[in-house]
Amino acid sequence: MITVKNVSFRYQNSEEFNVRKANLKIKEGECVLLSGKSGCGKTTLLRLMNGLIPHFYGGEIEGQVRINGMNIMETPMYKIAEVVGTVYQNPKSQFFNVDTDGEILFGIENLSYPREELIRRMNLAVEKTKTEKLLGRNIFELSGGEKQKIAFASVFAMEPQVYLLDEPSANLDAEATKELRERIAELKKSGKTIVITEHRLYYLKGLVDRVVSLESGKIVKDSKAADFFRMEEPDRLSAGLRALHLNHITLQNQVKQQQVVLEVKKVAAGYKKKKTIKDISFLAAKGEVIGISGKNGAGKSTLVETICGLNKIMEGTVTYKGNRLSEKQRCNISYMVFQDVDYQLFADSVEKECTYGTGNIAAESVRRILDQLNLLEFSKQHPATLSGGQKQRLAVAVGMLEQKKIIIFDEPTSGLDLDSMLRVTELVKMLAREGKIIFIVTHDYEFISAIGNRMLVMEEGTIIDDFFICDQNKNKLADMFIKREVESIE
Amino acid sequence: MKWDLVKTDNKQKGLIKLDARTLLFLILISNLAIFFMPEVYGEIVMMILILLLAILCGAVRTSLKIGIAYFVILISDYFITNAFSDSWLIYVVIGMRYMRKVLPCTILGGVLISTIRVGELMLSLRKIHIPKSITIPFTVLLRYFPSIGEDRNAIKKAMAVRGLNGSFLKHPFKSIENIYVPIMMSAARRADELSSAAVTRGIENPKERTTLIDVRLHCVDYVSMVLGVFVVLFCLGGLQV
Repeated sequence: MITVKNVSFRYQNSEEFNVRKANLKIKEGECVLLSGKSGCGKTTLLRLMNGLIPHFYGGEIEGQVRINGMNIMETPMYKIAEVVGTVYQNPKSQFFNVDTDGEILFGIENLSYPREELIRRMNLAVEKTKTEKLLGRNIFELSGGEKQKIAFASVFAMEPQVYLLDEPSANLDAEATKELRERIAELKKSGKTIVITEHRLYYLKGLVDRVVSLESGKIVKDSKAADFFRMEEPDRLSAGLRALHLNHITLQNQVKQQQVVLEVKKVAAGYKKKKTIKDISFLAAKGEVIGISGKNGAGKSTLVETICGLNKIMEGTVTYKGNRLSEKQRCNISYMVFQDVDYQLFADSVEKECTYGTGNIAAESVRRILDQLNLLEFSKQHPATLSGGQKQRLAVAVGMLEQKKIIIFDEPTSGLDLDSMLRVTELVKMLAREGKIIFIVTHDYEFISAIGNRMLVMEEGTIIDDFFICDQNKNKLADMFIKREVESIE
Repeated sequence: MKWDLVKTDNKQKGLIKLDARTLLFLILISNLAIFFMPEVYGEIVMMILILLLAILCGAVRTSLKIGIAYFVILISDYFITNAFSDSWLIYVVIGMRYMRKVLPCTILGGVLISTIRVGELMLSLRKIHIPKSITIPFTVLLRYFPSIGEDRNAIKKAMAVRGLNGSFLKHPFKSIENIYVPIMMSAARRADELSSAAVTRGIENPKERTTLIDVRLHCVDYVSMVLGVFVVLFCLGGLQV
């Protein structure tokens, strides 16, 4: 079905080849995982298959890619679109329409099918992807999982033979990941050829047939899925891969609460008089790393925004070291690192970013903190030129320089490979050692097991569970983060 | 499965629904009219009629907001020119006048964005023989507007976290820069991702695009256009007589 023959590719402004002499054959109906660290060339390989390279991203190219006999490099994009469908990592930016119906129809309308065919395909796609309930909605109101369903439906309607999925689970919670798995299983059953790039691997066990490993642009291994998932732990770590089996994950931060400083008591808050969260009470000590989890709309963001002083408290109190905090004071002692860090970088150089808006920070401490976060060598660079991880560390540097006591991370590990995840883990550990209280909104089980000592679970605007992460509670933790069904398929 | 499963009319619902072509035509003529308007009374009449139309189309809240802004500017203009006509404030007034003249069309633009779906718009533009090289960037542009709101909210939060908010009056230029820089960065990224997602779904197909829902000019469209022309002529000339 897919033949990649001696393909090398280099992006226009890249110094090295991003894919080197790649050879790959994928049979019809096969489900193949492309695995490797960030920047190993898996996304580039995917783009070579859907024609974005060379039709959209130019560069130096050699070799040949054929799908279903069609030479990708010589076929126009709209012809490729009939055979190859792509679902992207970030559902936010792949929508051309503002309404769900228009989005599902978008692809097939482009391909100029007659009206009866449009109706047939639309209805079939809606039925198969179970999107009836999402019809007629505004794209901006949907959760990450729902957006992805619509993205799937839109591609499904085009009835391609090949599905390319670019890190499909990066923005999904446990529930949505489980649904994603089911969706991929169904596609596989109907005989579609599927190629997936992914960092989170555990949910693909028993689903993929083959795993192709890439390292700096080269295909280094092509193994049967069964062999791949049997990999020894040291091999996995040296390959830089995320956990293959969730039961191998150990809890690394089993510290109990010590010096309690933050007290949240019966707090209710929300937007415009509507209480999105209510009856929130908990204590937190210096150096604690507290995970916050819960379904979409459970009130996680409202909670952290309230701690941060972005929302008014309608009922209850927040005290720090016995002092009741006003909105402004909460804002002064707490800091949030966004999932999308681009939004919170304002200055035109790394150095200036650190003192932006405050002004009275000594140059010496800026240097020290930048050095501590391995950013010193970039201090003259524009923040936009940094990698995702570096941007995240820069945002943390700002919070450290402003001497914040509470640091909140919103999904800091979505779409990260093992190395990057471990780097975030180190960063959080360092902050915890300095006595900060850390809150992490996350649905990454591997990450929270490595770093968290406590868990707050939210549902319908309130905390339904608050427990220490320790061996006694391990099952509880696992249950919450991964639906058992995923694990039991082996 | 039945065809009625596909909800076709989910966009903001008003009493009437105008076609994209009608709205574009109205934007064009009211723009010209306001530019050539000799008297402010004509402009006010047009603004009120545009507001009524927008409310009929169902775009109530944003239109009223812009409408209020319009009249606030108008009244302060009147007040300043009468009371402080020889102070530097007159330059502020001149700036405000330009802003004011854009507002009526902004309302119509808002109606276009909030009541017309992307597919409909593309079809309407094709029906008046506008080439794809123009319609595609144009629709991407319109698609981008609602996401500005999303970006702005995120940036406002980020500014609050950094303690950068609330200082707009003290540092207006700094504040604009704070919002502007991240929005531009996000826009560049979105444009790239959006267009690559569109090409992998066949937007470059040279064959005519089909659509599930047909767009047609209805009675209400013709009435609006004729009324629009009539109002413009009346406001331009009639009031002077």
